[in-house]
Amino acid sequence: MANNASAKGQILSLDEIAKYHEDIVSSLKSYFNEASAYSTERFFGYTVSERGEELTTRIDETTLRSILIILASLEAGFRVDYELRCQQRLKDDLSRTFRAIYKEKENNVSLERDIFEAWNIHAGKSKALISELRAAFKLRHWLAHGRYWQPKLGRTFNFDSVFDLAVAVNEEFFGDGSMRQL
Amino acid sequence: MKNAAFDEFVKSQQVPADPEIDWNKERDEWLGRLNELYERIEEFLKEYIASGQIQVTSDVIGLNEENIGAYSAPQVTLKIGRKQVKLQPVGTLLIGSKGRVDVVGPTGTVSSLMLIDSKATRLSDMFKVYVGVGGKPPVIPKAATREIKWEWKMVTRPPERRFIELTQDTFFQMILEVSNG
Repeated sequence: MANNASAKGQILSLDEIAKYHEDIVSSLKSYFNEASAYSTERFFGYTVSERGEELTTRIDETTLRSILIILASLEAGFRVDYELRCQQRLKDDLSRTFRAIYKEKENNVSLERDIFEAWNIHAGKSKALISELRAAFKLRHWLAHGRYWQPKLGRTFNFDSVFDLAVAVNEEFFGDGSMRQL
Repeated sequence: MKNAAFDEFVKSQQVPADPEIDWNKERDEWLGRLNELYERIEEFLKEYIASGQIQVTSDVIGLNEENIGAYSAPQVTLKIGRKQVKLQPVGTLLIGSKGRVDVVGPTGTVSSLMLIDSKATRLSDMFKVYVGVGGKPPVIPKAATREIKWEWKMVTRPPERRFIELTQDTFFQMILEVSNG
């Protein structure tokens, strides 16, 4: 069995992602501020509203990138958990289901068709979170594949809503907080 | 219940940004320079206009700038056969410039005409940094505070940002670029 679970130290924690996101947004605001040392040269010929609109565009883009990183980290957390359950031969229903999947697919397992579906069957009260995750991963696929189609997300996501979803998943599915501390 | 910080913020927003500046005068000067630009462009094109190969039409668009508020400004369209080039005024309260007109070609390619310090040929000419040594304020030479003479120039795209004198030749080149871009 490939031991990707041992590489979990490289996965960013949710707190690290949130701090990084806040730092980048604050930096953008400073850079776009009229008191910035770069302001006159960088924004030469701009109106004040054009500069504000460009800042908004940059923050929106930064937010999408941060959302992609959160969702990628969530995916990593689910995949590490899948491998650990297979390696540790746990006796709960979810672990047994994962081992059955592993016999057929090993690590070529689909996050949504296999891992989410197994959680959906065995997760009980967390089914609503799986539904939210499936919706959020439509956004993840759109971002990761270059945004070449019009996504039908069915809801609006922003940094806070995706972060809150990740925290809820972390607490509900990995109750020891392990994912947050990866 | 009053919140002191919020109260202070609301009060600070009641004061005009800079009561020393006559914003109506700023607007009227800009509109005057805009008309000068259009007259100059018509002069560049007069042979083509006279022969009917280029038609020049004018309409009015609404602009809204901080401190000045909402006002109307003339926009000019050059119809060159099947192609149209629009001269769209953007405003006068700009960073480093006294006014900007976007020249927009039929495919959306944009070039800019800006009111620039007549002595500047590139962006770096616009700014000088003076440093004070030993805790003393910097000594700024009198030449640095001279009155700026604003002039319409073509501005190349970043990162080069050169300021090109507006002549008939350079204007024609600009129209070719936005039309074929």
